[in-house]
Amino acid sequence: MSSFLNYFVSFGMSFESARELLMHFCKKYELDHARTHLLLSELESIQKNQASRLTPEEFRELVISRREKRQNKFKNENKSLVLSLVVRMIDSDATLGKLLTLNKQINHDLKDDVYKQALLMSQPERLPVKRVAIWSAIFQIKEN
Amino acid sequence: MAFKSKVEADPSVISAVEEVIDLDVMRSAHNMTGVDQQVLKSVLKTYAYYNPEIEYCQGMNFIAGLLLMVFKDETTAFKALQELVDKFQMAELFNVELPKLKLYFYQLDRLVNIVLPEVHAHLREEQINSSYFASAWFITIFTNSLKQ
Repeated sequence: MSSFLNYFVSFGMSFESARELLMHFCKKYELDHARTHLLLSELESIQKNQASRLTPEEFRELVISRREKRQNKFKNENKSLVLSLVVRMIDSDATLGKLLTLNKQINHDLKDDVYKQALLMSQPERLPVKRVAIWSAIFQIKEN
Repeated sequence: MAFKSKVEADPSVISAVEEVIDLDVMRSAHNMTGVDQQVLKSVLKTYAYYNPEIEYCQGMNFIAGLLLMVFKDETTAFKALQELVDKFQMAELFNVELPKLKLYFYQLDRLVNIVLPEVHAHLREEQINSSYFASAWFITIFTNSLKQ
């Protein structure tokens, strides 16, 4: 079915018709919802026209949705929310380490962001030294 | 030791995937200097027994190899592999039908469409979809692309 989707697009079939045909065969061969969803997603992603490109309004909605997601993640922990934004600006491993010792709640809320910042952005020249310790913390591996 | 004992008690469980693991480790050996191939095979075979839902999937040899390179210890590399698959819900990436891989292809296509629309249009014209070039990136979580 996946190969046929490419033919639909190559032959210039409209997205609506291709989707209708796809749904017909999914029903006929009793495909489960997960597979049907994947095929529909694939069909959408291979459209040649740019109708599926995000509009400025959709971009704005995405930004708002990301902001809401961040706020939901920290719920009522405003300090953690503010610090999570600050973490991305810190380029000192020592400072990042200190953030995690502020208190238990902040440690819980921020450790993923702090580890990410330490691995990807902060003091890259120290990576060979710090990698094992950070990975051990992420994977919750205790020192032997 | 517990996993090792289980494998020792019933070696037939793991024998089905042993050949594939041996071949893959041999093929990827040039990418992993400093990794003991026997240790790497041992980690992968133990994991195949430990997690029968996944057993072994091509690409895991690169991931386990990198973990061995970093941790330099068989037990720690095994624990890291186990935690990595659990923490980031990678079972769906390694499952027989690779459902998460298909999702990643879709997401990559959408991102290219959004960020680089001209590139996306060109790839579409040439009938190239992301599965042609991105399978190894996702299935090995980019470990096959890393420099030594």
